Amino acid sequence: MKNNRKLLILDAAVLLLSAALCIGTKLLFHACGAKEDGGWMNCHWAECAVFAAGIALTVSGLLLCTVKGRGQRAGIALGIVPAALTAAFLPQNVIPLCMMNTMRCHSVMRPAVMVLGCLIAVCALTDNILSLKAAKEEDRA
Amino acid sequence: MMLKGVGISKEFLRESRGTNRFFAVQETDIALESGQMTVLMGRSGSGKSTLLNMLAGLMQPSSGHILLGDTDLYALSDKALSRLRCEQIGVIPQGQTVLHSLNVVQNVCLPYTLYGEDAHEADARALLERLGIGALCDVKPAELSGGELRRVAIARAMLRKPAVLLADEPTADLDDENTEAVLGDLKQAAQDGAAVLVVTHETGAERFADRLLRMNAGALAEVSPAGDSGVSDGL
Amino acid sequence: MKQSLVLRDLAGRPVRTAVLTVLTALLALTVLGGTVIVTSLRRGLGALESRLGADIMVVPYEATTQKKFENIVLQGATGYFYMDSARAEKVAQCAGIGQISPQYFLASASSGCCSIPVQIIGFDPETDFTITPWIRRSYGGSLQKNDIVVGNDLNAFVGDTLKFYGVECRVAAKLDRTGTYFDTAVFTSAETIRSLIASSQALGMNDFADADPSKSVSCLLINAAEGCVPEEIVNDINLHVKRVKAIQTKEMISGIADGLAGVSAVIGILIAAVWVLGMVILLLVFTMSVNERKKEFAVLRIAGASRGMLAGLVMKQALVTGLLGGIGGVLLALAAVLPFHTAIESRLGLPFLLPAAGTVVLFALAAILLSVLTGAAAAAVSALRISRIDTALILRGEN
Repeated sequence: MKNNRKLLILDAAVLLLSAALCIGTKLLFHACGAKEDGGWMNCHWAECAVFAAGIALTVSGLLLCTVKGRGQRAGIALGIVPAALTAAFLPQNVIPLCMMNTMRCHSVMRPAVMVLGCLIAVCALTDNILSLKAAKEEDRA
Repeated sequence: MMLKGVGISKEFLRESRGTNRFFAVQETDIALESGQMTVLMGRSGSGKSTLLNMLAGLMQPSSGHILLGDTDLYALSDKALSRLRCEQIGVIPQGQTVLHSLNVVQNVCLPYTLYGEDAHEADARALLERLGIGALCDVKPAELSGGELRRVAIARAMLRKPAVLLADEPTADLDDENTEAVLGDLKQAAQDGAAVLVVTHETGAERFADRLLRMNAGALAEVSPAGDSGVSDGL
Repeated sequence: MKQSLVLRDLAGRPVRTAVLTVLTALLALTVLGGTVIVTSLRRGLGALESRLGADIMVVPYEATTQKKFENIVLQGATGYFYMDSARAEKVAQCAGIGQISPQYFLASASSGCCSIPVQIIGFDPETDFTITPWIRRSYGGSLQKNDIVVGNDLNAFVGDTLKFYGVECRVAAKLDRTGTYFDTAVFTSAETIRSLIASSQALGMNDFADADPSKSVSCLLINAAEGCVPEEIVNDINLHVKRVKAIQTKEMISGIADGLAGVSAVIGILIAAVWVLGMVILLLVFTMSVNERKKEFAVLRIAGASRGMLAGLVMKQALVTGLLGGIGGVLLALAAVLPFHTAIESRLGLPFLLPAAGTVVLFALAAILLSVLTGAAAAAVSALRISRIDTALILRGEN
């Protein structure tokens, strides 16, 4: 009973945070703008990659909210964990950002993506553990 | 073991009335013996509950002493008195007295768990079974009826098999069937060796009494000398 | 088991527990966030003071009218200006000067490595007394031709090669973080920067007017000789040397110090307001919950709890919610301030240097302790009332 409500909250959290990652990278904490000559700097491609990862995470979050089977849910939640961590470390660690740490991609985009990605991973991991517990209890009953 | 009140009285100060002192309980002696169920009758406001609270160690009398065996309750520190009440005096207070954050069996086990002792959960479940609410052990109190809550309080008071069991209006707002059952439970506790005092303003409890006392405006009197133990008139 | 009564009661009243926890979290959040920010600003100012490292700076007069100089040194903007070496020599002849060293400024074009221009600062290793000691902390060797030292915020590492105006420069060292314009600048020897200036000129990218780069400097850093007052030297230079401006570094920093004092005051007021409000609400919540729970305390009393145990129950619950809230608030504050410190820095426009990890941990622990203590203080009043509870009267009130 109680677990159900917790799971519901966690599902919603994963979905909302993923959506926030997705929308936020494009609108709120986007990378540096285009150069004067119209070309893009490195960080733009990191932004695009995070956006794509955000879409994948949002879809996974939707699945998590709709799928009923405890075992399946646990699987989806577990799958989200490495995906979210990958998204968190895409900027700079996978795709290098701009030259100066004072630039927007370093000072705004990277920390925001890091915090959101890690939060999604933590929520998904907790979701996975609780789902597994619930599945076990169901088996017992 | 015997619980005795020697020369006890309780005096309150009232500021609004003309006479600013009045005796809720006039000086009296009372003795509760093991294996006996004493029923104290009287109208509401006659001082019954005050007497019971003094006997329970919850209200210091204005004069006199309460003795449990040789121990003067009010000579003890609050800590020692509390521990003594936990172990030796079961109190069934008026009204609904449960902790809503605990389930039924946790409520009953309180006198053990309070001091970090083993909960004796099996005993508690058996006791609740005997009281007819064994099926409700793991339920939260919010789902219980008034009669069921009363039995939880009775079970809590009886779990440690205290030497003294004090019940304040245990059958108030219970139907006849439940009243019978509750008084029967208390009687059983007396037969198991406890000194039981039941305070009530309802008739019908007399049938269970080994001794019957009556209280009238703070004065205590033995109604029918069912036993020969010394009971003096109030004053 | 008694402990679990504390926790069970908290779990049994989720709303009250949540309110208490969130409130204490808010207290911890503001106090830690505010403290870290104010400390970082203080450290930033301190770092700037010691990085400027000179009593007096002398720049060409044009640089001060266009605010170029302040922007470079205080805001970390890029720019350049030059004056004839002859003027510099005149300055050097003024009385009371202890140490004097020239610096050369150059702004890289936004090409090659760097997506935005980088300030390049050249110094004379022979006479320098402001940059060398700082570089020495991270680099033992001496700078060879085309060696550069990069500031901490530059995304380049030792061994990397950066190209400025077609000249390949090797990163010899990376400086520690300073929270000042040092962090985004590139440092190099006078010899290297002269060649960079020459290349830029060859590419037609820097405007030196009619100055001869080999006979130009950007600014002079001066330390007063022992026993001399910097103010007098400044007056002396401004009076006797034409078309230069001598500035006391202390005065330059005073603007920043004012800004810092303003921000500190705002943060201090914010913390105080949140704490006063938080305390009042905590007090109310505890008092209300005690009134509402009187009956439950009477039950515990009947079951054999001593007065001390009741007070203890209230205090322990306050400690648990305080601890939970404190830890939550601290985590929130750290998640908000640590990753976003650069964004905060640019928003505040003040030098910003995060305290060392150990200090942050210490602050965090102090914030948790403070939240727990506040919760305990708010609960203490209620605990005292509970310990005086008249069980008989409460039960009587039921009739």
